[in-house]
Amino acid sequence: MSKKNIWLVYFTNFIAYISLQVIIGQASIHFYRSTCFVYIGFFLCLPWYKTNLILQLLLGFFVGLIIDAFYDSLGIHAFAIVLLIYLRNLLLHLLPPIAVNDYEYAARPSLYSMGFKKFSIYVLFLTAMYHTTVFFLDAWGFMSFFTMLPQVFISIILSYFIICSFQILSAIVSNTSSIR
Amino acid sequence: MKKLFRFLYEYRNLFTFLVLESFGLSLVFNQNFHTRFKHFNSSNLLIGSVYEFFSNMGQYPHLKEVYRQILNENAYLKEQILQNRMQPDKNLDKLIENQFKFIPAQVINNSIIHTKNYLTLNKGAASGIIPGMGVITESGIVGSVKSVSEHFSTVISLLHTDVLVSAKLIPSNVMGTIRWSGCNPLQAQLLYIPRHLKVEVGDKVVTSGYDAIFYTGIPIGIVSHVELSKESLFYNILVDISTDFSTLQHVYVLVNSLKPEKESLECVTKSYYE
Repeated sequence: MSKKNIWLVYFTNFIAYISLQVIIGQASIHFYRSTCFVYIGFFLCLPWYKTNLILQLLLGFFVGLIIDAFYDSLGIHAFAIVLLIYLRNLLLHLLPPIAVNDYEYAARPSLYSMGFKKFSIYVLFLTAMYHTTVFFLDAWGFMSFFTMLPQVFISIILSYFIICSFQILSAIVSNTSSIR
Repeated sequence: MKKLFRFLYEYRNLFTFLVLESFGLSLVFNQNFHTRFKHFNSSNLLIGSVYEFFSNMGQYPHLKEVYRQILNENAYLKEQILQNRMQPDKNLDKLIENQFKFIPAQVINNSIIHTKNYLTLNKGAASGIIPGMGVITESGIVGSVKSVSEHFSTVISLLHTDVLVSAKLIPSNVMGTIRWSGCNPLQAQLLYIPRHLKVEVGDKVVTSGYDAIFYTGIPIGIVSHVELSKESLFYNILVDISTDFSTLQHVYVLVNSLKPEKESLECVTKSYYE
């Protein structure tokens, strides 16, 4: 796969995730006031090994600010996404994705390169961290931990399932068009 | 010096991380940023257009419901006109009568999940909306306008923990303050009702009209829970909010033509005594 193609894939991924996020923000799910922030799926699947972390942090910060503008919550998502990108980098050194030839690290984490178990731990841990940060910063000083537990918990599970199904979908698409 | 630079370079990722995080936290907690970045919310033209696009897509299934609502409202208004014709209120000044005007608008974004919730409307400064105006529906109050752009406006919902609305109980005419507690989007608290008064479950709560945003008598909700502990000065009252925030579609923005006059008078009086 040429370098140009990779950027195209990232770009379409980015657009897909952000528009999915906006649609979810519109479609009101009123089950325990839960919602999900699936756009973090884009940042979860960025390349990790030998890349410029500073660039990713800056990108995350600006995308976070844009999401904040959509949700009228200045700074909350920007804070949470920068934290997520930094922790992701640390976590990936503990659970490295393996490339096809079994000797090297894969360039980017995915369901395919990590396996279901590792990928689940990776995604669940980071989504849990992200959602707790967002909901706690939002409810700063107003609510106790236990009143918002169902909201946070359901949101995490929803995000996890949507991110995993997005992965499976992209694996199917890349198999058929032989981009891997 | 060289060592310092090398140190900074070695830990450049960590430092970028820390700088961005502290900037993010200061954005969240410093109110100065909120005023400085006031165009950085959903009344922004770009974000408003995106919301309007998605909102228009999701509108068609609700058209029947909206049609029914408007018919009901029409009937109610006709009834009121008839009542007014039967017993016209001659004491009312012509200007006071026309004090409030309504601007109909459509909700294009709405949330109930946060502790600070906002709505976005598809009308802005071009239709005559300015920050500070009240927003209502036919069933009750919604909130007040926070910021406007040319074609969109952001509204602070009643479901926002910083919003205080002046209210009164209907049979007893007791003044109080409505505030949302941040947990249940169906209930709000009624504060500052002193303990010597009598409050019962089922009492109506309406706006008092003292804040110059709303006129008197817009429904807010119905008292659903009254509690009086032995040592507290005030009642502990929960109110079922009459507006259903999860299905909000069409709202009216209230234009109070006498608001500047009232506020300047109050300001003059206040400065005289202080």
